[in-house]
Amino acid sequence: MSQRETRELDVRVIPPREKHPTIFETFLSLRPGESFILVNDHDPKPLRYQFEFQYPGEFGWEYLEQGPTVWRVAISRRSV
Amino acid sequence: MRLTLSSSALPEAALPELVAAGVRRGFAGLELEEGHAHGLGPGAPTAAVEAMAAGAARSGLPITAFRLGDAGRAADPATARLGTALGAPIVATVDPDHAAIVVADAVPHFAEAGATLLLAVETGRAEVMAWLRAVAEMAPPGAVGLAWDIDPGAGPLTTPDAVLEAGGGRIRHIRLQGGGPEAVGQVGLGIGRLMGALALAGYAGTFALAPSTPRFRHAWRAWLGHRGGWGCGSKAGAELIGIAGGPGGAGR
Repeated sequence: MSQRETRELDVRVIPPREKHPTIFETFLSLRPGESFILVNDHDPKPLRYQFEFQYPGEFGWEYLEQGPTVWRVAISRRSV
Repeated sequence: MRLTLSSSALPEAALPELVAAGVRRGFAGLELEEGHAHGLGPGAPTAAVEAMAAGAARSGLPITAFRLGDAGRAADPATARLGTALGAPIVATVDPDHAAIVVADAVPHFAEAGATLLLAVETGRAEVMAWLRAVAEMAPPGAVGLAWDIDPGAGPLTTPDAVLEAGGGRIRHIRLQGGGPEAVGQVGLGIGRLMGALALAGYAGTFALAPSTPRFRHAWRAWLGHRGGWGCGSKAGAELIGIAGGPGGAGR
């Protein structure tokens, strides 16, 4: 099983105010080239804007599933 | 990881109703608990169990675990046969001090049926999980695994990564008391830390959500009747918690 299939962060379970800090902590725990799949119950567009603001050029963002009930995004850490 | 719904969220619901609610909310499986209105349990006719399990899977929500009301039932050959018919592990909540006895009594039946027994424990301590792992490793390969029951209300989770590591890859099922409509009120209990640890550990098992207390069932019923999310701010989630009387009201 590939890393992309097994490393999942399901934020549907996390209290709202802890979601973004947990996502960024998980991102910062990655080594360059590694990734995880974010699972959410809505399109995490605001999160992407926050990534672009805080980590421009340092992350990859690929939608794997886009609703209507579940969104899955592969977030990777790039070498800079 | 597969997010699943516990039947304890809708204990009065028949299986089709549970499946519909789970699909509506984007769950990927069902944890059935013995004694609820779905009607499945040890001793149920095998053909009927297989048909119901197949129907749930066809509808998009396979049965991914069956939880016993009493760990002593694990020693009943009918329980192992139920696991085989469901194609899902049987979960037995055990007292760690008695886990070896449960395994000794149950393993012959599970090994013969080709079913899997998961020993569940509610703990935040790595040494307890390590002990349970040692007990599980005494059984033939595939017959016994581990499950982890988490009640954040019993105390914040401080070292979920250590508990996961102590399980040594044998943890196949986790149940969280909370999440769903209760998530908004569970700030500071370590759930974010837990989910981050699961992601980094590459946890690939099931993760069931269940109400923390029957007091919240009204909120769960309402939440499961809706579709999709309310965003990270979740005003509607807060309203649902208000209906249930906590945490701003009667609480847990």
